[in-house]
Amino acid sequence: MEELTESLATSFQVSNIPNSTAAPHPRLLQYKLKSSAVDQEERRRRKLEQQKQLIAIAINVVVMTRGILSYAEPSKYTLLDCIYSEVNRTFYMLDVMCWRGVPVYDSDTEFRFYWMHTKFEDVPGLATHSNINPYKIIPLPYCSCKTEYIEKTMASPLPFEVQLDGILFYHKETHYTPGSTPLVGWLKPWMLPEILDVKVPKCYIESRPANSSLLPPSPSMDVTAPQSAAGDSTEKLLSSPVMDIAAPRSNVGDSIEKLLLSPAMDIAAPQSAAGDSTEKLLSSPVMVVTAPLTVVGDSNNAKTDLNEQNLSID
Amino acid sequence: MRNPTNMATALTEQTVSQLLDFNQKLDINLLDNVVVCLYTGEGSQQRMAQEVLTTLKEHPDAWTRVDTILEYSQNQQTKYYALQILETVIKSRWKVLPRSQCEGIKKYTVGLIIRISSDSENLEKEKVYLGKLNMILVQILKQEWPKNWPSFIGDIVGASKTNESLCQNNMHILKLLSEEVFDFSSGQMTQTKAKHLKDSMCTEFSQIFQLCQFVMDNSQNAPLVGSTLHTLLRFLNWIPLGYIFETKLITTLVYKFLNVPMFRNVTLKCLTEIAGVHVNQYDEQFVMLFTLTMTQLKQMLPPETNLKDAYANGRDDEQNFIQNLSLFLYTFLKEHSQLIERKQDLHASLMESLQYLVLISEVEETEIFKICLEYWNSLASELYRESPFSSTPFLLGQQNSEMPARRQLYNPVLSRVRRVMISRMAKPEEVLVVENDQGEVVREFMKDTDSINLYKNMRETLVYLTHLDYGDTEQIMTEKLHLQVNGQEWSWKNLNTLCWAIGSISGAMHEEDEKRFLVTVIKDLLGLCEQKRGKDNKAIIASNIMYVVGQYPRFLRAHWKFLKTVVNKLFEFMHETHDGVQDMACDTFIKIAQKCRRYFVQVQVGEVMPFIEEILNSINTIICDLQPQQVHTFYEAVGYMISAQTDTVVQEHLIEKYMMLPNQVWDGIIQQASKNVDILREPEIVKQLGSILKTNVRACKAVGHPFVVQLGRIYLDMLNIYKCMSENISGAISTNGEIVTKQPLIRSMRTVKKETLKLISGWVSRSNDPQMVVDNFIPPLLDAVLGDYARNVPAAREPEVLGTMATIVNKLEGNITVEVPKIFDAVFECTLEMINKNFEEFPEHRTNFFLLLQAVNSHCFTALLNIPPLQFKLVLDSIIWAFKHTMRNVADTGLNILYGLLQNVWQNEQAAQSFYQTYYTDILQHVLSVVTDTSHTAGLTMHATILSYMFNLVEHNKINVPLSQQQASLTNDMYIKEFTANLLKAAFPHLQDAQVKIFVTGLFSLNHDIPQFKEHLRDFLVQIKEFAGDDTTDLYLEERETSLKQAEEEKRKIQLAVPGIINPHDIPEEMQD
Repeated sequence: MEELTESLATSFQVSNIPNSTAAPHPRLLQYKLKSSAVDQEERRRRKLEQQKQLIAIAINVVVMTRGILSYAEPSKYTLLDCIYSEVNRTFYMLDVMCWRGVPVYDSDTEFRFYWMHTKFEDVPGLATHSNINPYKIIPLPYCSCKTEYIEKTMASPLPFEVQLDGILFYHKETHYTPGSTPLVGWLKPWMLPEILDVKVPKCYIESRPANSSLLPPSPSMDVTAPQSAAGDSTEKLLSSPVMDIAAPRSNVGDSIEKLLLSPAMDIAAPQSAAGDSTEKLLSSPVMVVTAPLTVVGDSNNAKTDLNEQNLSID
Repeated sequence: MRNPTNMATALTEQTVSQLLDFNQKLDINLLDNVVVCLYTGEGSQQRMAQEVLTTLKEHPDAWTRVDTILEYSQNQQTKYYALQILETVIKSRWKVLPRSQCEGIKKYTVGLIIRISSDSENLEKEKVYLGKLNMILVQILKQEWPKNWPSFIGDIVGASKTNESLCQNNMHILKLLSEEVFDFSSGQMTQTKAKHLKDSMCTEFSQIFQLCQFVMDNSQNAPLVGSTLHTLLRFLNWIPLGYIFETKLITTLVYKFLNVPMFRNVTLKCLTEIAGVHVNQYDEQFVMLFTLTMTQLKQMLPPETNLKDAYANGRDDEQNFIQNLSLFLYTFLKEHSQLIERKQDLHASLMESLQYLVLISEVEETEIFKICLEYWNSLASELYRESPFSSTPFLLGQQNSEMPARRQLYNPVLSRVRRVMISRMAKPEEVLVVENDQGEVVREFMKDTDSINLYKNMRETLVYLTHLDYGDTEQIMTEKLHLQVNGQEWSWKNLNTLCWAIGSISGAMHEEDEKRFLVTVIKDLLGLCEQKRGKDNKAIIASNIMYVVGQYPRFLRAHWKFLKTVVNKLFEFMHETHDGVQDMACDTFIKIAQKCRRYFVQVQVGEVMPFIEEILNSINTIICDLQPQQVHTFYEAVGYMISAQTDTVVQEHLIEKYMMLPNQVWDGIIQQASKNVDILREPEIVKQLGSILKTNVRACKAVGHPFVVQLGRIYLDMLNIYKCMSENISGAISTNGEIVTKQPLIRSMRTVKKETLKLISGWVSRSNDPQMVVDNFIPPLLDAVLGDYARNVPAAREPEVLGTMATIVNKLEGNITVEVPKIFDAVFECTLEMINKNFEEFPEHRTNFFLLLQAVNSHCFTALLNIPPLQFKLVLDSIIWAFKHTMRNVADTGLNILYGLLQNVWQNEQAAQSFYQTYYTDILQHVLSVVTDTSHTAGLTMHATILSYMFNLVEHNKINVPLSQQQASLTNDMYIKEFTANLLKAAFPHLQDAQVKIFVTGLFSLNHDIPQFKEHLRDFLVQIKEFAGDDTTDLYLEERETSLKQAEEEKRKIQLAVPGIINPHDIPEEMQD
């Protein structure tokens, strides 16, 4: 429908007069075409409603379809949403779906993050390479969504060597939602001052590519390449109040409280069911990573036995 | 033939009088010359010839010369002239001729006919002359048969058996007789007589039928058989059904004659007549008719024949056959298809017949297509109504996936019918470019043309077909769209037709399916537009795209972004110079504005202000390239949007902004004029004023009552300008004469006056606060306009003034009663003077004058009662003058006013009685005079209504004052009966007393039943055309009297059922308690 409207607006003519004053400017349409008929507030509200009706996902089914070997009892595994860095052989934890057989899908973000970090501390050795632990698992720093906290976090050192790719904004009430959701947003570090009025160290500001617009990044975008043309399907990606340039700057602390810093993340991968196949896991952590990676295995048992087939590496 | 110069000497007074002297022998040669002169001469010679011949014809003894003329004249035209004389005497004076002479004429005519028709060569050579003689004979028969010629049928049948060409001509005579009695009798003979003749013919028919059968079974003479079949065709619509269904008539027709090229058309017509018989029996025979005909047909016309080409390349005869076939199939299937549906083994035949009909539907001939269309329409609507669910298999969740049996049977054919409809869709609109009275070239949208009616029927049919299976419709349309895109069927005409079809089914599909379908369509069309090169092509495609979107307001309303884009694109097109694009853009814009108006005044999702504001902000850039008429359309469109704004404050602000542009120009002109009034005579200024007012008129039409804020702003200045213009026009006419009204400047000034009045009447008719209007807007209007109208010379008076007054009265009704005397004083008499000299002059004033009168009579009647008696008499005279017009609309208005007036008077007890006393008999006389004038038969129903009302009044003693000073002791009822009878006898002295008596009786006994009353009047009209003579048996007076008595009885019964209707004194004793 959108395409149709666009086609009608631009290429439909009788006389081909370039720069006709009768027609709107050809680039006018690139200015933020809203895809959804419903505004952000409404979409968020709906999502939260939906969550209240979510049925617990049959984890067993997921396990079966994935064909993952589990050395632990099927009910005692852990599912984590991570970003994998091949270079560092490290999984960076974003979120948790299930811990030792206890599903936390339908717990809110606040709880999940707390749970994830606390439980992580219970398992020593996860954060280091060892014989029994070929892959490091590192939690990513997060903070509550207030200006001073964000600034402090941005100014602190990060637990990864690569360049910071973005900051994720999670609605504190949202459950775990695979795929893209209006309740999680993403900003590049250099966008923070402009959009949120949050100070960040100079290096981030300098990292802003030339000609880049204030639009949220697209899934297919290479962060080192120049920003893609505005008007892409970026709309599908994210929506947070800070992303809506047309809207007035909302108070950062409103409904969003948890802030998670991540090297690079694309939440907008077209995933629907949890535990769908991981597609493109790219080698460089600064590249966009698609699906959440499921780490199967009893993390109590530090030897995380990962079936190589789980990871599809392009 | 002598040469003209010799004839010039021949036609002198002397020679002329010679012809008219019946004591002398008739000089046939002279007569021949005169006739030739009539047909080939010129100037005064021709005029003299005409005079002579007319005078001769009207002479009562002229008919005595006829036989001589027929015998000896050398000139065919003279013979025809003689026959005209004969015909006239038969039709109008037969009954006053001595009996012996009647017999003489009868014998002479019969003898002549026999003489000519007995020889087959002569029969052919003298065809026209013989035809006229046959007609004469039939006229005689209408007078003589059966009473004075009881043996006629037997005679003619007997004679036919002796000689084949005689038989052939006799068939023709019988055919004419059948037509005169059964088809054309209404208005030509009285009801009673017509019935008698029909009965006679039915009774004697068996002889005729036997003769026909004999010819059909045995004759080898082709022209004779042809004549018989044609005669049979006429008989089929009235003969007793037994002759058709209980004989072997049908089989003979089908087996013997249908496949013979010379007879197939008339035979098929006969079979069609039979197929059309509406009766509950004879099922088997109908089935047989169908099966036999279909079998024969398949041999004559292989079912795969390309009928479209066959028609296009065929001779007349072949084309007629195809048309007759369509009529046959249509008639039979419409009446009797259930008989065929019931029998499983006939289904194949049914399908074959439908196959023919589909093929005929492709023939390029509108009249034939209409026949097929009517059938498809009734079939599709019937199938739909049986079970209003779609058969598309993809419909999810459908409980009843079993298609109804009938639909299953017809399904395959319906798909082909869909294809035909889509490929032939008619044009939905017709725009005519004309020059109006002000000399402006305007586009007029035609309303009721043949083409538009065809579209309506096709659209309805396709909608039903879509309901029956939307998937198939969609598939066909999508397929055809592809054929446009890939070029195989690409042409402007084909694209237009396809898009009209797509546009016609709007709303027939479920919304989701419709959306899906439309997206595909528009995408394809956009692609097509890009693909084609050249502005001509692109413009056509663009028009079609806009036509389709304009037809789907439901879709537009559901997708704001898209709607907005469409409108913006239309605005773009309003700058496109290519021919027709701007018009298309404005037409589409107004269509969309009307259907989606709400969406433009509310803030839509993703927007910060209602779209109307965006439009108003940039209105001048949008319209800067449009022509004035297009600008007016644009303004009307925007007005619809504004009318949807329910918040009055917001709406007012919108209106202000909306009218800003024209108001700027207006204010400028007003300002200039206040300094120097002469600028109002400058052509450019006057033109601008006209255009501004037109904008206002259109804006007001759309906005309605709320337009008052704008109207109030310009009202007083506008009326001042009106006065100025009026004085200018009047002055110019006084100085230079009426011819000056043709000049462009004067015409422009008239436009300003007219548009002013249109604006005011348009707003008043849409206003919703009558008191406010009466208090604020009416007084200045009347002041400015009425006096001016009266003072103007007739040629300068604007008929629109009368129209505006009528509109105001119709809208404000009782609220304006108080101003009626003022209005009448100014306009009534001076206009009446203009139109009472003849029936033609000042047609617009004429029509509007009576419309005003009607309005006042309907809504402000009390005002009429209060005007001075002399003026009231003038009003009544003008009403009578109105219904004396032969101009339909004026006469009808006059009659309606009269009827309304009578009813209004009755409501007003005080006025009623004196009204009747003064005017009743006059009115009655005038109405009777138009009733009996045959040039007014169009008004017969209204005449019947009024007369019966008036007679009712006296019959039921509603009038309790004497209607005449001369009636002495007679009741009103008796007096009026006598009065009417005397009037009629004086006007029609050739009628018998008995005739008049029965007529007047009927006027009273039938006055409760308007249709019967009407026929009674018609009978009288027939009778006054003829001299009745002493023998009135033909009038069946006794019979008529009996039936009138019966009607009277019926009437009383009905009335007795209503307590109180009958005066207690009139009720017979035993009926009272």
